[in-house]
Amino acid sequence: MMDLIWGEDYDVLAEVSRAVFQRVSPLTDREISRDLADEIRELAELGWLELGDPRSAGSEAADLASMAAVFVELGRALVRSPLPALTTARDAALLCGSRAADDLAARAATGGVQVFPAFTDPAWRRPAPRLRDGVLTGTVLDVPYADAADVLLVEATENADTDEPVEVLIAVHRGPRMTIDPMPNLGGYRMSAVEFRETPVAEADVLARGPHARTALVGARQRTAILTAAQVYGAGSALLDRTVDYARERRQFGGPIGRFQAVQYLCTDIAVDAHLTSAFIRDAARIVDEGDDAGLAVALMCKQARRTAEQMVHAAHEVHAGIGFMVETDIHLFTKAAKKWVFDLGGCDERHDGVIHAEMRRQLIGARL
Amino acid sequence: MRRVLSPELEAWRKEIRAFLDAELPPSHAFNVEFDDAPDRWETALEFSRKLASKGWIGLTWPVRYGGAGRSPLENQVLLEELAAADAPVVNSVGIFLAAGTILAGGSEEQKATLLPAISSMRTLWAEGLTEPEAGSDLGSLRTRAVRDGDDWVITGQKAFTSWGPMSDVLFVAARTSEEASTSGAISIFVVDLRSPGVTLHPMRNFGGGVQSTTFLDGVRVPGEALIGEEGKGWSYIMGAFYSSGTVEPIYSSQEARLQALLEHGDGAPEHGASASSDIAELALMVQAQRLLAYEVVGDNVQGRRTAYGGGVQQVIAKEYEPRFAQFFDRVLGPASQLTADAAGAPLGGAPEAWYRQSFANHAGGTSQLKRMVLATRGLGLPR
Repeated sequence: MMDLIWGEDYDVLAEVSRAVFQRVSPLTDREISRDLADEIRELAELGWLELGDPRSAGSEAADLASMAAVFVELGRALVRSPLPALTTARDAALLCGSRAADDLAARAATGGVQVFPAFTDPAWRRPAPRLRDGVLTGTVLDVPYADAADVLLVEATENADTDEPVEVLIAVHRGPRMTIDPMPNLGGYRMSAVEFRETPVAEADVLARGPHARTALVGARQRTAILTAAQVYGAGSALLDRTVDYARERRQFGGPIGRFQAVQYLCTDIAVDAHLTSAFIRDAARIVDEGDDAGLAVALMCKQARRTAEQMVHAAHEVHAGIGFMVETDIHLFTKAAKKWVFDLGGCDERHDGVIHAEMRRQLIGARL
Repeated sequence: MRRVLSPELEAWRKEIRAFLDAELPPSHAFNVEFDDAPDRWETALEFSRKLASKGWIGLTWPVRYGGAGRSPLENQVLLEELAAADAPVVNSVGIFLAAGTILAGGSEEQKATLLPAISSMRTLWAEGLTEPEAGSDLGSLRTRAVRDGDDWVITGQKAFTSWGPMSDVLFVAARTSEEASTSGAISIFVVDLRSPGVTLHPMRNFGGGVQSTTFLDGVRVPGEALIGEEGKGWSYIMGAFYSSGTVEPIYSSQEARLQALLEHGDGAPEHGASASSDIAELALMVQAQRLLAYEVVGDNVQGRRTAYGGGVQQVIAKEYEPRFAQFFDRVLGPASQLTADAAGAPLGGAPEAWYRQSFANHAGGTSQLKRMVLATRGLGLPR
């Protein structure tokens, strides 16, 4: 039986990651500012731009259940890093299975070329850009680090020889026929709206088409979801520590507020949600690592992690009360990050409920919706 | 949704299923916690004895004490399958609470005599922990056991004694010291329910069954009725509750209910977002419990200790049981209130019974108590 534990190299990666991220954590220094090129160089030197291989179930490469250690510590330190986006693009490129995509991923792994994903999130209710006769048109919202990207890995659709749109993944190089507008947001994440204005695309830059593109997108999205949930778990653990410390120190009505059951329950809410998220992450990562169908496990994990992201900050604010609303405390930093994660994990239960329902019917009664 | 286990464990699961297919009574609906209908009780007892004859009661106990010496994982799979099949296994007080206590602290003679009697279903145990003014707060126990020569004389009142009239002996926690604390003041005794001075008064419950108020009026028991050492009752009970190496697989019976619900809805013309949302919520509750259970069992097998994983498992198991029952109301609508004898009751009226029985979720300590334990012992918050 596979144990419900993190991967074999988890502890080693966690120790290194903690040291790296705590140094640049806004929880340590609120004013810290870093050059993106320096960040990416450091990530490349650490080998984290080629950490794990999405195609290598059971190989020597670090598995997802180990890789998660880096992202747990990223979340624990609340660092806004390009690593998650770079990893998503790298994973998608590798899962395309084409020579051109492999080459692009290899160059990205050195930090020499910066490839970021421009995927269409259904939460924005916008259609994917359209590729027609080698020309790309449309807008993608919430593209991370688009302003610094050398290449965008774009999810698009095309009507080639059929009436039905076919999914394609395209490497689009920065050029004049695109507009990049910043999208200021609560968490201060570097994201942009990218408009492609009849941007020419060479056939050689179409990395995958049809089922290959679908497989790459589904695989990359599943891995990204697991690594996003890992950040939620890391942040939840840090938030729990701070909230428990505060409940032990803050005195009201003649003693520490942590002796009141109402306060204890708020703290246990964070502990329970964070721990549950961790259990779902480990299960989903194990299934992905074994190369099995992870659709149900990832959907359940997203549902729990999204809920955790919402509820943990609510409970922490309740315990900290007035002082938690002041920017001199760090609680709002968690609240801002959580807002982003909620949407990264689907935004609402409905995104995953249909998948879960269909999978339950398939597994328990052998029927399909 | 089931976790993939080793081929050996999957083969073990198949063996259990084959046994259940062959031996489970066709009409086995029986609430083992409360039911006192004589015919159903006899059916349950007969099935439980068949289980015992297979050596599947006390599966993890040492062979020399009437067990089978199998692993906690094998036991977890067995318990999962029994729960999924709604198998009427009786004597849970004897199998889990009493046996756990005897294994932890009993003398060699007690282990050699009491445990085989449980694993062969020769002795059925009733629970005698709770009192009118001592529920989860065992430190408030008033029942006293006083030495008199080689004997003990026990006097007190126990509440909510499950299975009292059907059992042979009572698992009694009694105060043997004036100390206020739980550690050092409480001892455990086995009391023959036919002893002079024992009286049971039935109390019908909302779940549809009976428990008892048990009066112990100067009940004289021999010295060997004291299980383990005097004053160590609290630690034995905690050990029995927390160190068995297995977790009660409520999730397994819940998954069977979810399956029945899906089959009931199969073919229905509409499966809208609302239905999907409710089904997904039920699935999340099942899988969360399963993951936490395997984490606890895995930790026990590997000798690992998580910071508070076991505490989280207990909170979740407690809180999800009533929520699970409530969600059936959302999916099935008003028909979920119909009793089994009503025409058109969905799933044979079972959701109505599940809903009532989910209010027995306080057994072994309420959800709130489990949260307090997690907060103080797990997170280190002040008392």
